[in-house]
Amino acid sequence: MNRRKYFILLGMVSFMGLFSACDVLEEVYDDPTVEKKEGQYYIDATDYAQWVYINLHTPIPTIITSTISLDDLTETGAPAEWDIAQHRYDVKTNGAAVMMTPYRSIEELEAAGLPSEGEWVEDEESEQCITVDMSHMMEGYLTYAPGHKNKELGKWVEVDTSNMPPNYTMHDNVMLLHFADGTYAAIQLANFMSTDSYQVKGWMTVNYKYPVVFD
Amino acid sequence: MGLCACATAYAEEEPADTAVWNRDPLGLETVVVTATRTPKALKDIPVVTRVITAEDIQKVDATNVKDMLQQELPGLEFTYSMGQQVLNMGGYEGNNILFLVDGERMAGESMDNVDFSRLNLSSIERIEIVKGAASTLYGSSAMGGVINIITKSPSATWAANVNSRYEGATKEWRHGASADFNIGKVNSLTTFQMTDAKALDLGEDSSLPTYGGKSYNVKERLIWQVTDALKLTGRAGFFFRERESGMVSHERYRDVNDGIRANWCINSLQDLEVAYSFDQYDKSDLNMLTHKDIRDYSNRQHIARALYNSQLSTLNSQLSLGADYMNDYLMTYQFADDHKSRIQNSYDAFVQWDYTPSRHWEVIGGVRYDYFSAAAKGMPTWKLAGMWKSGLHSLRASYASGFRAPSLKELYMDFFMGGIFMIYGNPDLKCETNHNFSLTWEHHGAIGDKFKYSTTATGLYNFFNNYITTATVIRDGKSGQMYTNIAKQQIVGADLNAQLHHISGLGTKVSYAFVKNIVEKGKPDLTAARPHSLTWRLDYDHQFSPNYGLYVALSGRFLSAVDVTEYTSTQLDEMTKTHYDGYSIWKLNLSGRFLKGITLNGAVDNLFNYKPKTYYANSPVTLGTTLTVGLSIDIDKFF
Repeated sequence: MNRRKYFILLGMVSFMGLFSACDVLEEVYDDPTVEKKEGQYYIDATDYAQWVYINLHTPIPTIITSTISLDDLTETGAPAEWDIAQHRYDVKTNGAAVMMTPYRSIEELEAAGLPSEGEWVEDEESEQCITVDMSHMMEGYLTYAPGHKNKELGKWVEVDTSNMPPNYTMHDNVMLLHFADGTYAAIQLANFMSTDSYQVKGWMTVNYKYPVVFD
Repeated sequence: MGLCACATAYAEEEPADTAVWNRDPLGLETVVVTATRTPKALKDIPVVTRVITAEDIQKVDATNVKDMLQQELPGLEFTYSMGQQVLNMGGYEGNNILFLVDGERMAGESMDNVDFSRLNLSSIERIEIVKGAASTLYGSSAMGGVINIITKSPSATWAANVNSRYEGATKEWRHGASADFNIGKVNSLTTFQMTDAKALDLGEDSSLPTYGGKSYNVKERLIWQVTDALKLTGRAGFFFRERESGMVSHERYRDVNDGIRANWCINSLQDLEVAYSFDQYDKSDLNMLTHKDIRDYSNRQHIARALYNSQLSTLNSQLSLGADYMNDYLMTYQFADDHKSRIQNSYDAFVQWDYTPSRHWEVIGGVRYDYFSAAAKGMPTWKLAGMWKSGLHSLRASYASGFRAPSLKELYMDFFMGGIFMIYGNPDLKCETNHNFSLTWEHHGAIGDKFKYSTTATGLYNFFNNYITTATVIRDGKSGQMYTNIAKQQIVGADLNAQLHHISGLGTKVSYAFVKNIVEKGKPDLTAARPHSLTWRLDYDHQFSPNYGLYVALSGRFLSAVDVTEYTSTQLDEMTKTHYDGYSIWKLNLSGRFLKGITLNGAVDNLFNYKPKTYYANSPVTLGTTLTVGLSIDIDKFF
């Protein structure tokens, strides 16, 4: 073989990248880590048998998790002071009324002032308020717990299960909360998946501001 | 006897002349490689092989292998499972049909099927389909058959093509280009294809999710005829597909593959092929909220193989010896957090003896042994096929055993499905196995000077053991699913084909397939194969002048009704049957060839505007009549 042939062979081999690193696409992907911003909390609301309570009245949100017994559906560990609580995509409030605003950032809402139009929605009680056990779905039944939740806030994630896999729609409208003490808070869903490589649904990243003061 | 595969095959100058085309309208002289791993003419192979030619592909203007197969082969249906396209062919699911590109395996799967959109048909010379078990030559996953997509041979000088197509239903644009040229003894072939489609709106009642998306596929192949006896082939490819699967995330699929192959013609009787290939198939999600592209699946396969052929002139036979090694790496979100990736090595060796005792007889026998490191288990397979031919008749009979080794996913899955229930892998799974028998009668001939015809009739019997599916288990007091080997079943089938060609360019082809699964009493038939199916084509191809040729085809396919058993619970005692209506879809193709190098294609698909009552897994995804137009220009034909 003359030198030209060696050159062609070398060119072919290097072109094909045969001896490149095994994972040739490694550099294509992003680092899943997402840095948390100020005015944002990130909670694990994946467990069907838990409520995650958030108190916005403290300097930084106080987050406490309660557990629901699958035997008698009683809840233990709920705090006395709280503003909202999250369970998967369900949300309940501590006596607040909620308005879904058309704004896509809290600053936008503050600049626009208190919406004059829009519906204030309070929590609703029901016997089958939240699903607490999905593990018997294969046997054809689910376990629900009674309680209350706010359907307006729950609109932030809508799950359409008519097709498999389900289709998720997220509404990142700023939700305005009017608490029983007369103060306002604003929350906005930024992401409902974990910010690691697994992207598990039910990890909620929420932008918040309390208090929101309107002129 | 095998044909010498040593020298680079250069394509003959193109024909589009009806007389030339009519020399072998039945394709009996077509040389194929899949059934024996040596080049042989169709009429000389004891194992029935079906061929879809480049002309067929061009006339249909198909984008990918799915479009082409379902139009040409009865007994084959693409359906949906979890939003992914899955295949059923002759009662076998997609993971038992081995898809090869130039003889090379493909990495990656979704719902146990390869990514069919990777298999675009630009620069394809032919598709070879071998039904029935072929594990003795190809190992795992070749229980139901092998579909081998063969890239075109180098041009004698150079060739270049650009093409575009628009499909009305999904508003899909497809653009493609290819070029090959020679510099000295090196030939380069570059192909590119991109598609961009919108989601098909099947209405609110549909249970079939359809998605818009785009894809890019680029391939390069270099062939270097180093000496008369030695040829090197190098290749590399990149594939990207993005599926607009929801507002919050888009699914992305990427593949990088490359390989090098050396073909050495040791002497006029012996040749050796040594090859290495690499294929990496990844899946990722583009999170539309964080705009991060996060990978959650990567399958990487390194394969080394060798194949030695020797013609034994004293015994009028050919001996093939081969061995393969594969390193299979899988990282997936479906594995447990503490063990996100798994690796398996597999090794095999095989021998095949192809004996031609007389011009009337041909016999092939083969044995193979595969070893898989994950289960530390081996699997022998064997085959025996014979053919008798005399004049215009031939009879073929074959027995082959096949198997599918449990995949890494089936062995080690540990996945909380949809946040609802666990699916567990099962390290104790046995291989799926089958015994496949087939008997084929073929007859071809002429009626006067102007008609040629061929007919084939095949009967198939399969004994299928250790079918792998999921069954309910209770762990930690909760119901989950675990991969399990379940009962035996038998698949019987028949294929009938007839084609007739007139010297004027008029031709017709009809194919019928019957398939029936026989399961143990009380056990469900999970394979959902439609029992009767038919494809047909009536076409006319004529070159009126050097500058103008016309091809017209009226084709269609019919699939009979089927009741599909689906579990409401996987206790294996609660199930429901979903009825799918039978249907037929007709297609009218018009293809005009102008100025030697321009082809204008038009097609009216679903000519009679068939719409299923409901859109569900096995329903055809059609909204009714669709118009497709395409333009292809062979630039080299103008020089």
